[in-house]
Amino acid sequence: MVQSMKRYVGNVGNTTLTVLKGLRVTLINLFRTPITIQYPEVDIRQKDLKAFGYKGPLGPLPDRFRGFLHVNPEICIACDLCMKACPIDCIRIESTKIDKTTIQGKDGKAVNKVKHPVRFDIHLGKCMYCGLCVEPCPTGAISFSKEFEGATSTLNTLVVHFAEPKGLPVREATIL
Amino acid sequence: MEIFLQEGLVLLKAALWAVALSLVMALVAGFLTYLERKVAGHMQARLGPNRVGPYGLLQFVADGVKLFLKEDLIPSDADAPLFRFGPYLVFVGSFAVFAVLPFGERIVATDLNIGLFYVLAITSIETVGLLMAGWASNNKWALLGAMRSAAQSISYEIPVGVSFLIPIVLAGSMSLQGIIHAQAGGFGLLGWNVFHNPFSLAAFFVGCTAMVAEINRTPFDLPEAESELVAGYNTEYSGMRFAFFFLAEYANIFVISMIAAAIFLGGWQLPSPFKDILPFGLVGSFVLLAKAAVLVFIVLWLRWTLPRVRVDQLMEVCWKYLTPMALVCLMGTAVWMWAFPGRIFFGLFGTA
Repeated sequence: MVQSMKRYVGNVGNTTLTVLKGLRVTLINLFRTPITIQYPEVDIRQKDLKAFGYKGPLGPLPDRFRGFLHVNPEICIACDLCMKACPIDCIRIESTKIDKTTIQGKDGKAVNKVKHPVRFDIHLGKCMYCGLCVEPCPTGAISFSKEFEGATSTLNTLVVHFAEPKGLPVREATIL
Repeated sequence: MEIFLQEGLVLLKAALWAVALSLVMALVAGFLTYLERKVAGHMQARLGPNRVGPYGLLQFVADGVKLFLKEDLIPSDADAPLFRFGPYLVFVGSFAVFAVLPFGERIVATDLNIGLFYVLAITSIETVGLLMAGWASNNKWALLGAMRSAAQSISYEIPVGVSFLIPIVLAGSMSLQGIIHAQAGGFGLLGWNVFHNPFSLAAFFVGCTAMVAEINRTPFDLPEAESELVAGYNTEYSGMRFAFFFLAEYANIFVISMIAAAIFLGGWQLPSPFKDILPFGLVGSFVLLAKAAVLVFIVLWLRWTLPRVRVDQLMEVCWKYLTPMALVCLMGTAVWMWAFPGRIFFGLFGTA
């Protein structure tokens, strides 16, 4: 009898105590700085988020962020390594022979360039951002950018042409 | 002729009050949905709604418009008349309480002499509405939610009723205004029923817990239990009918806070020098609303703190803990009034 009374009162006390403990935790959190980044207003591609009035602890996009693939056709030697590496075949390269030039490679060694891409298409709608194409590239011509806003109403706009076909002047890659 | 005129005036007054109170209810419930999301957001280190209007204050208007424009779906296997009727019953059960809510010393739609009894009785209609909605939906989740709701509301009516008896006993009146009048005391504070004696203090907590359970709020939100029952009794509802449930749910938070503030926390009682600063006892109204706001915040705060109890725990809390405790509080208060007539706890060691 006494024991069950003790347990009863103990239960009531325990409930009160634990509820108060829980309330304390949530109250402390209530006054914490919100972690939310107001995305379209705060440009997370910039280094300094504080400049946009963001007070939380998060940083900008990490350096190794995998955004859209970007190709610099000037240093591309059209070796097709990226095309072969791609597991879902979303890269398409056509090239033409040019006079031999040398290009600074990723590891610092000089790389011979004997071919130039006349067509370098990447289907960003298919790309799964695995990065297998970036790894074998000897010159660092293909790399991840920090662009990620890919919403579009037609699928074709996601096929990005990094080199104009048939020797036309090279156009800077435009997304959308 | 004069009788007709008088009757007409009474009806007109009633209609005006009804319009005003429904506006108050809609605004309060809407603002509470906003407040809940804001509190939830900040407790989880988020921002909460902040897009519509300044600080997202107009979010509930946008939500209301959205619900209003939505298609009104009635499942083909549902019992259509009951399905239509359920939400209104729930809404009425919540709205009718506003008629006796004392918003101030002179601001109340009608001061029923059985005010608290009326509150207990009319809120029970909501259970019928929920059960109706759940049954008519012809959906297992909805039915389970409705059954839970019925079991819960009926059980928790008892501790709520018993803890309501304590202010009634103390004031010798069932009218909400009468109970508030009886709470006059030093600094407009010492007369509060919570400070009357240790038992009434305990009864305040017992009553508040039971009331939170009765309006199906977390941690006693088994009828809705998003994670178990999809959405409980309102699973099949959409558009305006859903909005009625939603409105009633949030209005209920305000209602229980107002009632608790009125019967336990001294209502609009003020120290006499502040009483007549504004006309109609408006200062008292603000004080009462502030007390209610604090209680509302605590209800929201509890929701984002505590996990949901199990069904057996729910019944255990009610029958093994709250009900006996409320009874002990009632008897204790009665004994106190017999042993120290007219004395409050703080007055024991001096003159009351």
